Amino acid sequence: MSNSNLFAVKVKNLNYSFEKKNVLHDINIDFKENKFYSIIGPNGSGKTTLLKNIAKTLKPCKNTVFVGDNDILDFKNKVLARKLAVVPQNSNLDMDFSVQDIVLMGRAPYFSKLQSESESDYAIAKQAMEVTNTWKFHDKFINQLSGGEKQRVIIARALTQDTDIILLDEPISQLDIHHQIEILDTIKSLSNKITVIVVLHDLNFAAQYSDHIILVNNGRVVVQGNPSEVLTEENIKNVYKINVCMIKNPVTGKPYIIPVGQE
Amino acid sequence: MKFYRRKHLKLIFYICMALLFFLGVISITLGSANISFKETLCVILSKIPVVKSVVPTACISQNHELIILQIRLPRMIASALVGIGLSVVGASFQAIFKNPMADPYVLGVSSGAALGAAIGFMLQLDTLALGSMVITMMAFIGSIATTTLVYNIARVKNRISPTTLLLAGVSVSFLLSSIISIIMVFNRQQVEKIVFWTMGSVSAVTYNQIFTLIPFIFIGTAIILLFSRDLNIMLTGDDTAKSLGVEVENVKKVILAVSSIIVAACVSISGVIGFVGLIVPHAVRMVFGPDHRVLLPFSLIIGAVFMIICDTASRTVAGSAEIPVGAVTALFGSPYFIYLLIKSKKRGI
Repeated sequence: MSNSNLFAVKVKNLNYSFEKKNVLHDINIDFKENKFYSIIGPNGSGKTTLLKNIAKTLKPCKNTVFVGDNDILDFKNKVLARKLAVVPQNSNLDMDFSVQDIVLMGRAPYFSKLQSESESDYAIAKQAMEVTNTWKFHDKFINQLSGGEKQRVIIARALTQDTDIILLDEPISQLDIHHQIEILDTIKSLSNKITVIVVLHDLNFAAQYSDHIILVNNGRVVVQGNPSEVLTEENIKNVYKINVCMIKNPVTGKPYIIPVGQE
Repeated sequence: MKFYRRKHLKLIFYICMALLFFLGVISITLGSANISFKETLCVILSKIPVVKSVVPTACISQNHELIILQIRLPRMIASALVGIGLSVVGASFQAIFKNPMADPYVLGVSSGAALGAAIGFMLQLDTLALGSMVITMMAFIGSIATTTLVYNIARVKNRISPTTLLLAGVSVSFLLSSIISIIMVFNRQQVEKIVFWTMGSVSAVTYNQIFTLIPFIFIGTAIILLFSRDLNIMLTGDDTAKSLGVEVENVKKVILAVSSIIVAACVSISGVIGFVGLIVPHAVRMVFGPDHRVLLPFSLIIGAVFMIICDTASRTVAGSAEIPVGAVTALFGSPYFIYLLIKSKKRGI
């Protein structure tokens, strides 16, 4: 008996090429429900391309990406948007929409053309804004917010979609350490109920927060597993071409990486 | 704290509708024949089924009734309808192309429609049964072909550069306008005809043409209104819109096709009138924000107001002579366009 519904997302023999250049080679990953997954790897390794294939922002080949038991290509955008939310790397938000307008867009997958927001939609949006600590500026214009605040608004919008899966592409790369930890804590708390897949640059954050890490290089999965399996001196040296000293984080017991110089 | 909602929007909308009605009546009173506001109101109300029993008809002179009903009223209605159509199309083009300077005139779509319609008239298709429908179809072929052409010239791998889009639009527009002029000259048309097609006019509009125009404007606008939420979401980027459930490519196709039909219907009775679709949605956006559920209805009303004012000016300010209405709208629109260019230059786009 296959128990495939334990998998939120399944990537099977995924290849992706762009302008006749292969960007992803034979990727196989099973994302289990309600876990925190990090995709790490050097710049240009294919992390974002992989995430975009899972989000269907880029079009994967047939029978390579599955959400639940179904090929992602079989979903209409609207149906997929009720199962899977995306927080993109760059959002173009230089406009006079209010924060609440932006967050309420997360309810769009549930509306027919003539329907408008009901009280329950407002309640879901409000809850998402409280979780992400954005409710206090819900009536401000989005273009008046700082980068970190905008990022939290976009996460609130993704939560408002009320999905079982959430994908985030480098959600903390533009933030200071306080907001980085605030956002990662928020995302981590979600992973009790939601499958979280995050592209991260910071290896120590990946070690600290992830249940499962996927290390990508040159469009291939180099190694995947729990943080102590993936984040070894040897793997990091192979992929990032640096020498590191590994210690155990005295608080969390997770691996902690100290870079010591180039190879 | 609760969710705030923009208050009184409905009330403001109804006030704008009432203003539009009174502006229409005032527009009719203006002109070389001296007709009073009260008389105009009486004539119009006496033609409305339920109200007419209570309207005093004693004050109406027959001459004036003729001027009002046969000359000024159709002209006023036509300019209002064209204003509605062009403004709604302008707003939806700006959303689809994510370019605040997109407008059916600047993108050459109006010229495409004019060329189609002009060819139709040259072949005397308007004398056929359902002639005005045939002309509108010809205009539609012209507008949809131009939209597709300009879109594809400006597109680089699914991205549309704002500058290339404008350049493509303007150059295609020049090409099409000159073809119109050449066709006209070779067919021994008077210069007035060329001016009509390239500068626009609603001076010779008939009720027949108005009845042809109405369904295109209203059904087209209703369809675009249905996509208001999708247009809002698409402003935040096509990828984001996809992940929020919008079938982006389909929405674009529907909106561009419907917009092209509306432009075709407008242009085949009024010729090319520029900048209405640029200036009106912009002004509305400044006051009411970018939400299309608000932007589109108000653009529609303000578009009608703007066109009525421009057309009234075009037939009254120069005494007995007539200024092409496109020249009046361009007088407002071109400086505004330049202002937008300077503004976008400052933002480094």
